[in-house]
Amino acid sequence: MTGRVLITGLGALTCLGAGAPALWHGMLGGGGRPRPVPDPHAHMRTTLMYLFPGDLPAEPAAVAHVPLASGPRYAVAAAREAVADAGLSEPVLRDMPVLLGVEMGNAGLHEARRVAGPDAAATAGPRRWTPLTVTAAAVGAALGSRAPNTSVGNACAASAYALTLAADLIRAGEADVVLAGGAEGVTRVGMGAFNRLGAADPVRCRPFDRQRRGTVFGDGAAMLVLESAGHAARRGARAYAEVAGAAWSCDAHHPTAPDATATQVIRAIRAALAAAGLAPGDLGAVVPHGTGTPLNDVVESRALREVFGDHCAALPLLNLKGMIGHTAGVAGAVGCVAAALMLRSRMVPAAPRRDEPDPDCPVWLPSTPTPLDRPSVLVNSYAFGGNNASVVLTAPGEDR
Amino acid sequence: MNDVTVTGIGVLLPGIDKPAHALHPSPPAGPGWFDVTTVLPGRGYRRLPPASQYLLAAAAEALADAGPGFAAAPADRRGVVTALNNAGAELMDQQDRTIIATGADDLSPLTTPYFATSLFGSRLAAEHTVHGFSLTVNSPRTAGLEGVQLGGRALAAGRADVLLIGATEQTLPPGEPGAADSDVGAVVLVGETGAAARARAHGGVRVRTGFLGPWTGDEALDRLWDSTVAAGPVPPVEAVLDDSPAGAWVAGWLRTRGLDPVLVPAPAGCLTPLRRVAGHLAAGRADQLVVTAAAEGCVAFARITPPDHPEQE
Repeated sequence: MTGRVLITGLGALTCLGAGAPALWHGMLGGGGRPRPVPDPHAHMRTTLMYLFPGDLPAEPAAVAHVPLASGPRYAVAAAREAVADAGLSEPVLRDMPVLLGVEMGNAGLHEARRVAGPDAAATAGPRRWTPLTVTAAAVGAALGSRAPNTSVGNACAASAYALTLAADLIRAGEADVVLAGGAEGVTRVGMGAFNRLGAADPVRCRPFDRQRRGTVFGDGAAMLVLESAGHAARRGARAYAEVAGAAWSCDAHHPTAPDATATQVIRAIRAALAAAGLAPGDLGAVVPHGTGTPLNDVVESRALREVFGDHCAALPLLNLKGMIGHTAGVAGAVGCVAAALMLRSRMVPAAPRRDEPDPDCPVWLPSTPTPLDRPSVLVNSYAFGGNNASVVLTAPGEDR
Repeated sequence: MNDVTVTGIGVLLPGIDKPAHALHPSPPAGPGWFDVTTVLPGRGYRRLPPASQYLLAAAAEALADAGPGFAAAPADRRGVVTALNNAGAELMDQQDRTIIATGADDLSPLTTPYFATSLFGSRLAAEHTVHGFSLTVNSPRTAGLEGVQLGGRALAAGRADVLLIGATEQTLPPGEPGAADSDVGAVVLVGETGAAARARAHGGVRVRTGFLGPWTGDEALDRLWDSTVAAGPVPPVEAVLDDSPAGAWVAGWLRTRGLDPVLVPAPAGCLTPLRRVAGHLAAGRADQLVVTAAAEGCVAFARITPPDHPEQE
């Protein structure tokens, strides 16, 4: 597989507002704050989330017979932003595959029905099966795509896997333009599960802080238009970044805990760098998975130290989840959106204040905005079951 | 062309224990149809969610059928692709009802992580020391076939040398639309590429996917036909479809092509289309085309060919 894959459009919807510019300015402003989810049925220790502050998009209300909750609607809003940002229209949209990372998908519909009782309508029309993961279909329908439509379910790493598949699709010559991303809404089950596992921080999301007690979820969506360099050049599109390399690995170790040796995490990082043609010393910044769960942050720090050695001390990390929470299936995609914006501006936003940096996490989270000296960013995305994905973005047109 | 050569087949379906019988109708999945202590003896299986048990059992059968190729591959060259739609639906329903009624502290710690449905594939990866990757796909109805397509692309991209490609489903919670006849069980294929694999293969599978607009569109179907059948003899066609507008459109399109597809009712889930592929491979009835579509618009064509078919070169 050959060929360069560029990112020519971005869309985002997070607790920092609607739109990729809102994400960027919100990150520069220090990020958002979590608040309790207004769900009286969410019986658990903490219901904090980093919530989208705007109204639920009115459309689309349904895909086929399936009423849509917040996740798919956020997805459509961010997808429309991304394709508009890329300057795409018919007939390109018709031939554009849609690959989204979706874990909980339309869970909001099912959770609302459980509260409303057995007589609540399951469908918008005939009484048919209502699948959980209809987000990619909702986006494909909204954009008029007739190309492959794939929903990837790799939990909190789902959209990083989707983005990798999208880049592979372009490199294989099977598509010129692909929409990749992810979207999630509020889910009682997701929050409850993390509470039960002792992995929900009751204060805020505090990655790499000694006092961290788990993660705090966020809702939203993130979308990226991936495009072959040739197609982008023919239409004069301006690129934010290049998807220079991506790699996967699997711990095959434990249902929830990462392998403390970080062996597979390290292997994925090194493979992504190699695919990008970069040496460790070439890298400019990292968007870590950095969830705030005690073991994840230690293991990821260990992996970064192992791969980057002394360069780690001068390698700035973007503490994204400290600003927008853990957006679950969206995390990899929103990490890539943030990385693309960093490459465009050549700057790494400052990290939110840490009360007490964890000495077991010897990584650099800059306290002030920091120049991105080397135009390349590593985005890590991990999930339950040891699903590891690393993606390397570089500035477009870099001669590597 | 990102095709997958299938060297092993395993099924775990109500009333069916041999891949060659996968085309036979299953009896209703009554209580006790699956005895985990018999199928998966040993520690660590009994309390797994049923769909995880089904997947593990079908994979063990597929690997036994395939021979030593999978185990001979280095762990970081092995991959898993898992397709599911409703594998965790019953569990998630129970979890939510527990949270509503008494609180999250009462969730079972053993099964709580399975709200993240990637755990089904990850458990399989742990069972067989798969370090290459574990990919989960959950597109409505097409995920089972799509897993073959994505697996083929991953092989072509060099992300692994040998794959377990499976679909697993558990019945929907009672009262859910489609629960009465929803998919249950698992099918697993061992997928490889290359001439050596073809020499011992059941056959090859090429899957292409597309999307129907709201909920019609000949263009996507024409494209799928061209990329799976193209020139040459037209294979027998089987269509796994429901009564949705999208299903009706695909059935009508096949008829306008002059085809006389065998129509197979599509239950809730993504298992049945892959089950049909497995059944045709196991029965040695390649060449065959299996078509499926979801009410939400996803559509997939799977072309099954003999191992020595020119398309496999």
